[in-house]
Amino acid sequence: MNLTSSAQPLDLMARAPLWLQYRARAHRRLLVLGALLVVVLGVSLFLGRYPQVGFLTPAQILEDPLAQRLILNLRLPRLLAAVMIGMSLAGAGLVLQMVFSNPLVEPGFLGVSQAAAFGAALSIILFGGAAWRVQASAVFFGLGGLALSYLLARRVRYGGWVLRLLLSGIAVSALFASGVGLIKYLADPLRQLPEITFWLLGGLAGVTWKPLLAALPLMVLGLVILILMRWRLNLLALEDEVAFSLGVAVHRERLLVLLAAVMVTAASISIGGLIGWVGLLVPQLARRLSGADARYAVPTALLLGGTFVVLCDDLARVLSAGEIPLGVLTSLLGAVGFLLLMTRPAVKV
Amino acid sequence: MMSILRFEDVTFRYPETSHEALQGLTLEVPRGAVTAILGPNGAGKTTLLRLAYGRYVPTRGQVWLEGRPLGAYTRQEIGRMVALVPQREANPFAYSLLEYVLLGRAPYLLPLQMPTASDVAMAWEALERVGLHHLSRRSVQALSGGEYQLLLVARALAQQPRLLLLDEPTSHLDLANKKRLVECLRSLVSAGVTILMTSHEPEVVSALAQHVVLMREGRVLRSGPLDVLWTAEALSETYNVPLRVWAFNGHRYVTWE
Repeated sequence: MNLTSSAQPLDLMARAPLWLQYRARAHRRLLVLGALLVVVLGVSLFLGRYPQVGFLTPAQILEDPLAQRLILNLRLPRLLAAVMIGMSLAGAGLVLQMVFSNPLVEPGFLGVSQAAAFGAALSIILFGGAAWRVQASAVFFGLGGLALSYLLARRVRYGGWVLRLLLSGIAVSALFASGVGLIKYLADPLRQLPEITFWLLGGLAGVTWKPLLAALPLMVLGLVILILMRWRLNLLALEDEVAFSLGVAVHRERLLVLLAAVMVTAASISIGGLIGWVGLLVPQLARRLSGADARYAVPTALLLGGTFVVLCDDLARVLSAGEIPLGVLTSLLGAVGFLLLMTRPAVKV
Repeated sequence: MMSILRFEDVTFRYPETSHEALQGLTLEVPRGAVTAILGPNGAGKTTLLRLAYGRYVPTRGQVWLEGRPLGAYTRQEIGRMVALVPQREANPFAYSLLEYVLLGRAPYLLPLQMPTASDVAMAWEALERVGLHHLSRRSVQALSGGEYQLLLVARALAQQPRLLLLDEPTSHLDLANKKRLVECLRSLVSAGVTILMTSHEPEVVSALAQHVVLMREGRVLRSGPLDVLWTAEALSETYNVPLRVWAFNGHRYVTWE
């Protein structure tokens, strides 16, 4: 057929000018979001409760060695952790929503979050909560949760692949959630329980360079995979038959992106505990802004996710002298944002 | 070589079932024409299509595409030759029409490659061919049933296929949209595409197809030119109900007896 002969790249201007406009607008939007993230980061670096509530002045930074060390050793790693966690959870949420073809899925599905929480809690009562052990245990159990969901899904005798994975994910989550309940019941109420609770509520108060750097490689690797495969994600969101007919190795490619999503989620949980709603709300918001095409929705979600968590963490640090748990804030703002988003008429696509 | 696709003594059983969905099926799909598969529900029509693009591999026998066994091609190679228009397709995300049709370019792209300008031009042309280009930025969720079916055809066209598989393409379209789709498919055939479709609708088949395959219980009862097979006897046998075929003004109508 002659579809080929008449379609020269040069004709594009004449044929699809709207598409070019659209793409230019998408790039501009990403640039604005990127700039927003940079500004938020810059401002957040000087925002806090030392030595006074509010901003550090340039004079203080130059004169006060404590302020300098505070910025370098506490605020900087904490901000970076917030950005990476935001990007990870938002990116993972988008991937899961696409692979499961369900806009209401979040990284907690597949048992990852609850399994990681169980791993951390277990490590706290067994080894007394040395940071690196909690972290390693969270990642280990998080990946284990996925593996368990996956193996279970292959044995479920009901529904298609996606439904089976979802069902087994729910079961595995419930399993580990009950495990967490049991550990909380057994934990020493004075020493261990507060630590477990703090961790389950999520927060970045204890983050220094060491735990951040430990989790960073996993996060970077996972995010790079997601960014590289961003257009391909659209194909993985199609029904099996259709994706197959387009030459996609459906199972293998879905497994790869799921693995990347779980890696970044587990790594995030290992630094900051359970931080909810980012992975559900931000991808929704990103799609509203950039359209459904994951080629643009992925970078949009990453930038928005980073910005959202940094802002939430700013509030957590500054609002009160004793920190508000970050997970509580993201859930509060996330849920409110979600309600607003759902009750608003669809923004132009 | 006359036929583009050939089934040679194909038997197929779905994994973990005991019943054979296709039994010793032999079939040729002639190039450059429309072949329609008819038969009662559960006759194995959709299964036959699934084997035609390699979604499933025959339990016994062989499927040949362009003179080579289907298993000798990679998935991507098949995707460049054979395109599928499924019966229904759900997608919860609000893609624009152009973005959605662009997905049809996947078989031509390396795993990490983004679609290029020429892919966009190709997708645009496919949209033009089905007459939806004026909606290119509209959300796919805002389309009517008829337009959605045309969109799926456009995505298949973006694959630049030689063989187009359609699974009951008109089954939930109103009369006007049926006509639109039939005309669109006719224009594709005259552009050199071969079409293999399943259908439950005699009026669509007799308006479009040159060849018919009559199936029942996983077997081909008869296959051949529509002019020869479009008889009350053959159709009655296929559906196991008495049917009548009427000719009027060069059209043929099927009714119950």
